[in-house]
Amino acid sequence: MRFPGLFNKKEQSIAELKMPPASKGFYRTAFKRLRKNRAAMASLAVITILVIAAVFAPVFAPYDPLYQDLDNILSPSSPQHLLGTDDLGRDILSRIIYGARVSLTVGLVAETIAIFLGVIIGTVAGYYGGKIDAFISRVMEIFASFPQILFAMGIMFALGPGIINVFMAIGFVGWTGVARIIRGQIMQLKEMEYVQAAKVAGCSNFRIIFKHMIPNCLSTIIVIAAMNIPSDIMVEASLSFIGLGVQFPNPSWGSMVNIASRYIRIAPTFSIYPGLAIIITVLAFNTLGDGMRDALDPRMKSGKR
Amino acid sequence: MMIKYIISRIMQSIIVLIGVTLVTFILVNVVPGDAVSLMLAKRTDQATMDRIRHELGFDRPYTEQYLRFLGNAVRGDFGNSYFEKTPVTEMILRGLKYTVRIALWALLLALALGLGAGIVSAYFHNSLLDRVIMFFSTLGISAPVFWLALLFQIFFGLKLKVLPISGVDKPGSFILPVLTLGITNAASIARISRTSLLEIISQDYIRTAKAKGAGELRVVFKHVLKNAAIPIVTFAGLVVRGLLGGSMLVETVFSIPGFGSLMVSSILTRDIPLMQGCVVYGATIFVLINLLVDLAYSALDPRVRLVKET
Repeated sequence: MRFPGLFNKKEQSIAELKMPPASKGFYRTAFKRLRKNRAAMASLAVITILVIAAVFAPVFAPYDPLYQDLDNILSPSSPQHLLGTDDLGRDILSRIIYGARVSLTVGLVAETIAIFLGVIIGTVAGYYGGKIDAFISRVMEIFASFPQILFAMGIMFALGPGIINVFMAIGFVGWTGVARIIRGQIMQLKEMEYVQAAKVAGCSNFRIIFKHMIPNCLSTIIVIAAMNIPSDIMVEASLSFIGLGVQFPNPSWGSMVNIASRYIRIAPTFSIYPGLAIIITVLAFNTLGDGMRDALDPRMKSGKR
Repeated sequence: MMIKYIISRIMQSIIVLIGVTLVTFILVNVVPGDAVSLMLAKRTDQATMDRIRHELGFDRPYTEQYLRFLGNAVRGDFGNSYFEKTPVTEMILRGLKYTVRIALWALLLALALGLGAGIVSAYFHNSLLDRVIMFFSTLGISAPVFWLALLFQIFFGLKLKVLPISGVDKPGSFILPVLTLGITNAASIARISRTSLLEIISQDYIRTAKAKGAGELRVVFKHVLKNAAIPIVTFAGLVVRGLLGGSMLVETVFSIPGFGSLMVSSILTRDIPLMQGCVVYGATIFVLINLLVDLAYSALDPRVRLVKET
């Protein structure tokens, strides 16, 4: 049995004192902590290289990703084609470099959509409570009751294949996880004294939410994004592997593995390189995400979807 | 109180399942282009399309269509597959036979391997062994399951020639799919179980047990693992979730005619009744597992019931 408000006031003010103020200093200390994490810094370096390679793909790729060298089909590594060629004689290294564009944009765009939807819906549920919260919670439960990839596949079925639809599918699948965590946090923040004070001072709900609450959720949002980007990249690769994602002839790592799976007898290495690209990218993002979680929010457990 | 909790939890699951059918229905119907034009893709004239639409009841109001879909779904009737002309439920049950078999073995493997690694890692935490285990588990969760499946095919099937690489009829044809699914899920279990074990180890009652002179093994088995029962139930739930998603990819790679590959092919061939059936059956299994996990929680830990009720 709890008596709301009887003991809470005092506990809260103590809790507030202990909480690091969410100012520049908080993020600076977090960044310092992150910089000491060697694995996370190495991952950051890997990701930076990936981003540079993706942005300047035409500079780094030795060939056009669509150029077909028909004299060299399914050839192994050679000085001409460092990682060999695929079934249409296209340079695998070039296609992997261009494929980074797809994976990284999916991570960025899809997660932005998920965060945007999740933060707004989660905030509304947590702030207003009552019937709105009950309704939103039930909707979240419904969405969460589909395995992520199954739901993404359902959306891709409805929208049809294509990169923009992949963004929407993954973003739309991902918002529930974000909303659940943000809802919980907003519910906690709502009880804080400075929010009560803002209310008494006559701030509008809109102002309280955007000026006082969401900035205080920022570190959580960063951690969620860092932890979810790798799984978004993986879902895109899986969708493209099945044939529902990025369409032929555009290079995506998942669809490259799919094509390669038909030739494992004659060209086993063909399937290995695009898979390695996925594993390196996802591993880097996972390690960086772990590091950022430890640096920003030591209390948050690995809430992986 | 327990019964009240169980009933409210079951009601919740039913609401969720109704929501699932609604989402499935919306996915198929509200998007531009209805089922008939999707299926025939402008290969026939308007009159024929209208006739088929009428026969399938697509010219009725959406509410009526949905209620009929829901009524049939409750009875397990999703109609016939467009392409195989057999009842969808029959096809799904046939597929589930393979999927459940693979999933059960993979679940056992994942729990044994993952919990084992997690316990060792937590016990020797911050040691070199712990770091090695954690590196490999992070690697495991970062490896695409379909790619791992291909590597196993290449290595065990083509290089060593010891195991069949596809199909279900040869002896040992389940080993590679089970291995693929088991290993990838073990990796995530190892990570989560390490975190939750470390949390338990830092509790006061563990310190008390140690202080009163209980042996290390006794502390681990009697106090730590007993309190880890709840996380273990969570992992089982998580793994089943992962298995359901992973089975689609793994079954595609190993050409297993299971539930996962049915789902994939229903989407690729735009076989709407089969797709709807797969989504609803898949979600039902998922919701039932979540229900079981929650009930197991409340049996193990009275705090869960109390928190949820207030």
